[in-house]
Amino acid sequence: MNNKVIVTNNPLIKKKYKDLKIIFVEDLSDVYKKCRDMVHKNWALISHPLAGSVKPAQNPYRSIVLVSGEKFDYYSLETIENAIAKLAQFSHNHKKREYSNKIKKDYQVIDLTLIDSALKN
Amino acid sequence: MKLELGKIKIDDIEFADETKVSSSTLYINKEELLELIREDSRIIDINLDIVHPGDSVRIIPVKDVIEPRVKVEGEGGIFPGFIAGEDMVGSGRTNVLKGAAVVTTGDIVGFQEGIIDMSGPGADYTPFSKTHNLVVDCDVKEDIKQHEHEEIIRMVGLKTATYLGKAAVDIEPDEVEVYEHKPYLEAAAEYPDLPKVGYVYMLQSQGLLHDTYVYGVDAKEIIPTLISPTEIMDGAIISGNCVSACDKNATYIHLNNPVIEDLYKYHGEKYNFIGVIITNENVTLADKVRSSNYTAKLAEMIGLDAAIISEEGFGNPDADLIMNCTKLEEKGIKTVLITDEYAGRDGASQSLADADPAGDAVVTAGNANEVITLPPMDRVIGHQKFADIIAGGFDGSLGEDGSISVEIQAIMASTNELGFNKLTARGY
Repeated sequence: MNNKVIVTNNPLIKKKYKDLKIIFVEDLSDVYKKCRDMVHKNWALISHPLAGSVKPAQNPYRSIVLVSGEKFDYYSLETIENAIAKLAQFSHNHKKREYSNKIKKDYQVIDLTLIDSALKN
Repeated sequence: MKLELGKIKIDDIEFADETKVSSSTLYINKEELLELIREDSRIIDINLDIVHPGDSVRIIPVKDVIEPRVKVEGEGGIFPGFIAGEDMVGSGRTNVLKGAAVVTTGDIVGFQEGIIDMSGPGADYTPFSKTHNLVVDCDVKEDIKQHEHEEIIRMVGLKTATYLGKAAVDIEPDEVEVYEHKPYLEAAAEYPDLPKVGYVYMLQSQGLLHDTYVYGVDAKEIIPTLISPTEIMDGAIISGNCVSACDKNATYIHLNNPVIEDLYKYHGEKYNFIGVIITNENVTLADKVRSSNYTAKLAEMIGLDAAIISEEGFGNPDADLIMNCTKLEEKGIKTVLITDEYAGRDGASQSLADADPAGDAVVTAGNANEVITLPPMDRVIGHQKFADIIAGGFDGSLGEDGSISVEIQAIMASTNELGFNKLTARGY
């Protein structure tokens, strides 16, 4: 597990995965940008950057698992770039808004369970 | 495996003293049913409502839709692994209450989604405005976690559908359809001159609110496998998928998979329908690679010349769709993909999150980003307050008069990727 890292803006991930290396960023788009930058430095995606069927930009929380590698992974780059394009497209019609704490928590839980499922394997 | 589907036409549902089917009407003893489905101590309250096509009613947020069926002959029972035991299904006779449906609703998470309008312009976008629906609105104790809440509502829906299905045990069907799935060697030998066509059936399996079950097993835990189409008609696959109303496969849709029905339609005439491979849509890239490798291997092992591949959901599963497509094509197996599109409100954006030149035969079920205004309804069952925060909703979605402006992705099955809807795109 030592060569894995979770890039996230989800506080629940930080709370649960204390033993894992976590890069915590403030904003959803920062999660994607950070991952893209890491892919350029030979990190590869473990989990797919798009979240299940929850639409990009709809869930304000996102976590992505990466692993360090020896060489550049083109598939990871293509996948993260496609995800960034989809995020931009969906953000266009999805105004940022302040959700209630309950909804925030629900979105955090959804993101957490996707990562639980990714790390289980 | 040979299954007879006995279809009993239902054109009305009413509450009554006894649960029975008579003269195409399904009568329901409300108290008896409530006693059965309230038994879970985590449930606070359940409301039952009957709605009909044409009613000025909006149901929101819908979790699942289930068709009442009952096994009258043969091994096993409906919804194996949940309601019935572990016996294999897909043989004998199953009776269906055609025209009736159980619709479950409940606020599992704050952003739950799924609209069924029984009349007005929204009704044209959902097949479930054409069925007579028993709506089950279930409230649970406050401290219940989301995954438990989903499970409670899922089980209440399955129990309700099973209870109603039992009313069809001794009824003579209006119509009987026969579906047979022969052993592979026999099936291949039957029409040696026709192309051997299979179906790759992708199941959403990513985690909380994104799950599908096969004989009670969470599909994320399976490796791709073979299944008889008749098993699916007996409820071997059920939905625990609450996300993306427009393109999730409700249990009703699994039971009535139109891809399977159409593959049977020209079987022995235009092609030889060999069988179904089910596969999952997991979170990690490694899982996606493994499942698509395994799917392609199975397709080759059963000797397919061509396959239809249907996706469930959007985004991350686009990667599974493309992997399945390219790997089958690499083995010389022709593919046709069924998906829907998120091409922006003007339809001008890239439709999928992944693509490949090998995917050159694609059927679309429509653009889920199209916007529609749904007029107010006389009655709302469920929780209309969610209109602003459903997928496809946006600030100001819910008008003061009760109208809702949303992308059609908020409407149940509007762009269903098994084609259980009316939308498509045509070139002129």
